[in-house]
Amino acid sequence: MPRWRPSDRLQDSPEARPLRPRNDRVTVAHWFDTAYADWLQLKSMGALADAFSAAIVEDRSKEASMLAREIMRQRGQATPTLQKLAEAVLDKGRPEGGAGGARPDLKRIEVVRQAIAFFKKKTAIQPRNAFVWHDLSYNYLMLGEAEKAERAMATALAVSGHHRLITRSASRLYIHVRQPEKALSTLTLSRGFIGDPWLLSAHVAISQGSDKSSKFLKQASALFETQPGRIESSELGMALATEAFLNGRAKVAKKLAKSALIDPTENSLAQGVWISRKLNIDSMVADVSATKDAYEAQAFDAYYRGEWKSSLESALAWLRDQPFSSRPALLATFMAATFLRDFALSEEIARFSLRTNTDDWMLTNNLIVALAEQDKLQEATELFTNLRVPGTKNREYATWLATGGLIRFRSGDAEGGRALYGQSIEKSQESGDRTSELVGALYQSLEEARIGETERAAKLLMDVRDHGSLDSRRSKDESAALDVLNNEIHSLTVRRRS
Amino acid sequence: MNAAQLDDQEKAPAALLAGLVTDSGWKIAERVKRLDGQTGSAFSVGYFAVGDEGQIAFLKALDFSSALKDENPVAALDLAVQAYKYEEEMVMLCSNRKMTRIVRALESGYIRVDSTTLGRVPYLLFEPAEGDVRKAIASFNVVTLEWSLSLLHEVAVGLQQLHQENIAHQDLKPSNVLTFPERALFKLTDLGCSSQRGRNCPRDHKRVAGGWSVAPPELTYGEVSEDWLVRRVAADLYALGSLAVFLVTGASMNAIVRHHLPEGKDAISWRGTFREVLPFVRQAYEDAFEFISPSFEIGPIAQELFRIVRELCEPDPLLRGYRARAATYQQYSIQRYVSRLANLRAQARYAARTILRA
Repeated sequence: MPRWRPSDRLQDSPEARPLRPRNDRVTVAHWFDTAYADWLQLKSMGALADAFSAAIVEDRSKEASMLAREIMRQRGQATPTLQKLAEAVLDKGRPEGGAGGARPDLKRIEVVRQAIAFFKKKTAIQPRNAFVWHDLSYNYLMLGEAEKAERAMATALAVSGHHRLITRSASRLYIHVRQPEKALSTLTLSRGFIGDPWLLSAHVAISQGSDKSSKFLKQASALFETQPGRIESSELGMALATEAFLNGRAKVAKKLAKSALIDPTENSLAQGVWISRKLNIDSMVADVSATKDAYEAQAFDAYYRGEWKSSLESALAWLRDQPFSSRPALLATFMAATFLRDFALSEEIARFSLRTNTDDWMLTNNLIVALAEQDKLQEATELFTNLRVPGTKNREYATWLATGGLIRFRSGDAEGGRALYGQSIEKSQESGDRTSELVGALYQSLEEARIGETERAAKLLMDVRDHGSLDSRRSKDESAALDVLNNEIHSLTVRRRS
Repeated sequence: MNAAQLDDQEKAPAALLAGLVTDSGWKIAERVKRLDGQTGSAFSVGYFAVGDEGQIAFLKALDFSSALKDENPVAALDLAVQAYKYEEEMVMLCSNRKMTRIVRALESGYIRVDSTTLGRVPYLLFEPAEGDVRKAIASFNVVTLEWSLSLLHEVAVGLQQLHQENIAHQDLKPSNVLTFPERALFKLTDLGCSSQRGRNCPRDHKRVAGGWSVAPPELTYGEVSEDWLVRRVAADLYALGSLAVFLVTGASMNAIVRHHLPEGKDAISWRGTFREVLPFVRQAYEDAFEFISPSFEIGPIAQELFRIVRELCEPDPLLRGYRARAATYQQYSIQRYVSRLANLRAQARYAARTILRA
C-alpha cells in the first residue's frame, strides 16, 4: 500500500523525484553580471535590488550574500520585504516554512487540533496549494474525522490536477475508509497513470488488498521489465512479486522480489521482509537499518528474530510514521501486552489508534486484553459485551474465545475461563493457526499461574511446545516466546510464595 | 561577461565609434556603458549621438567580432546577423506602426570604422531616454503607489501595442523600461528577445528567451506549449506582474519564489517535467505571496494591485490571466489589465491630490 505522510516529508521522498530525469544541463542566461555592472555604475537602490534578484534566481549564492549585506547596510532605502529577503539570504534559511505537518504524538492529541486550526487558516489564504489541503486531510484523519478528511483530500486532488503524490496519499485515505474502488479509480484518473510505476504499484497492491488482481497487471509487468533495479520501480516489482506469490508462482515471486530489492524504498523493503518469510527463505533483505524510515521492515525483521523489545520500538516508530494505520498499532499492542507484559503501554497505543480506526475489531480486542490484565474489569467487560461476535469459522473467533477466557479468569471464574481458553486453543489447532494457539496457551498458563495453578500452567506450556511439527525459524520464535512466559510464571510463583 | 571578454569588447570596432558621424549626420559622442548589452552571440555597445540641431539620441552598435571567437564562428556570425536583422525589423515595425509606448527607432544602418570586413559596424539609433527604472529608483522611499501605477499602466499599454501586432516582448524587466523627462512617460525597449507569432524568431529555440529573473516558471522548467499565446503572451503577463512586485517590494517575483522552493525543486536543479514539480512550485508561490502581502496592505488600491499580481504571477499558465475566460483567447488579453491599471492609476492620483490638499 502507498504510504501517506505530511507534505514536508514528501518533498524528499523518492516518489517526489522526476520519473524520467533529463540529462541535459540547463543553461541560464546570465543577467546577473550585467545587472551587477550596472549597479556599480548607477549606484541606485533600484539597480542593487535588480542585481540581488538576479543573483538569487541564477543561484549565485556568494554574490547574493554580498548584495544582501549591501542592502542591509542601506536598509533605510530598501523596502521592508527586501530587507526581510536579504536577512533570509544571510541566514541561509527559507523565510517561512512550507505547509509542514504536525508530528503525531501518542499522548498529545492537542497538537493535531492545533495543526487542523493552522491548516484551515492556511487553506483560506492559499486555496490552490494542494499540500495544505493534503495536510489538513491527514490531520483530520488523525482525529478520526474521516468525512472531513475526504472532503479536504478531494480539494487537494482537484487543485493539484491529480498529481502523483496527492493521488497516492488519496488512495491510502480511501483504503483507510474502506473504499477500495474509489482508491483504484482515483489512481487511474492521475495524469500518466499507465506509465507511472508509483501509481501502477499502488493499483496492483490495493487490488490485492481487495482479493482481486489489478486489471493493469500486464502493463505493470511490461513497465517493470523496462526499468528493473531502480528505486522508482521497486514498489511495483514488490507488488508484482506479491501477485506471483498469491498465485502460487513462488519462483517468479522470488525473482521479482530480488530485482525489486536492488534499490528499495522502505515500503518495498517491508514487503521484502514479509515475502521472505512467506517464501520460507532466508531474508532477501540484507540490512533493514540501511534504508531511511524502514520502521515496518525493522519491526517485522526483529519480530521474526524474536527480538520483542526491538520489534516494539520499531512498531512504535512505524506508528508515529503512519499514525492512522491500524497495522503498526496492532503489532505494537500485541508485542507490548503478550511478550513485554507492558499493559499500560498496550492500552495507550490501542486508545490512540482507535481514534482513527474506530471500528477495528482486533484493536478493540487488544484494548480489552490490556484493560483486563490491569484489572480494569468494568470497562473491559463493557467493551467485550459490545464487541461483535465473529463467526465460528472466522479466524478472529479463537481470539474472541481467548479474550472471554481472560475476563472469566479475572472475574474469579477459573472454570469458565479454562473452558473458553480450551475451546480457543482447539479452534486454533483446527485451523492450523499456530500463532493463535501459542498465544492462547501463553495467556491461559499465566492466568493459571496467577491463581496458584503452577503445575497446570507448566503443563500447558509443555503441551503447546510438543504440539505440531515446526520449521526451525518458527521454533526459534516460539522458544523465545515460551522463555518469556516461563520467566513470567517463575516470577509469579516466587511472588505468591513470598 | 568575464574580464577577457570585456577586454575583447573594448578593442572591437563597435567600441571605437566615438567621434564618427553617421551617413545621415548624427555625430557619435561618448560611450554609455549601461547601454551595453548582448544580442545573440554578439555584444552591443551604447553611445550618445547628437543630431544637426543638437538633439540627443541613443546609438546601439553591434559588435560581430565576438561571434568570430565562437567554437563555430560561421554559425555564430550567422546567428548574430539574424538577431541584428530581426531586432532592426522589429524596432522599425514598431516605429512605423506608431507604437507610442515602445522606444522609437530613428534609423538604422552601418558606420565604417576601418576597411576590414568587420570594420562596417551596424547600428540602431533610438530616441533618447532619461534612464531605466533602476536608475529612477535611487531609493525605494521615493517610489509612490501613484508613480508605480503610472509606470505599470504605461508598460501594459506598451505590451498591448505589441500584442496587437502579434509580438510578445519576452524580456520585460526593470532595465527594459525606460523613463523620460516627462514624469509619467515610460516606454519599453529591447525587442531582441521578442517573439512574433507565425515566424521563427532568433531566441524562440531557447528555453527562456529573455532574462530568467522575469521568466514564468513554465518556461524556466522547460514546458513548451504548442499554443503561442500560452508560450509567449502568458509569459509577458507574468513579467508584468513581476514588475509590479519589484516596484512594491524591491525584489523580483522569481527571486522571492526561489527562496521558498525546497532543495532540488528549483528550475536549475530539477530534471523532470514542469507538471511533476508544479505542486511544489505552487506551494512556493503561495508562500511567496504570503511573504509579500504585507507590502500591499497599505489601502484598497494596493490591495487591488495585489489581486492583479496574483492573477498575472499565477504559476500555472493555464490558470494565469483572466480566469473567467480561461481556455479562450481573451484569457491572456492585456486589455483587461490596461483598463484595471488605468483605473487604479486614476484612483491613486486622486488619493495623492486629496492628501496634498489636506
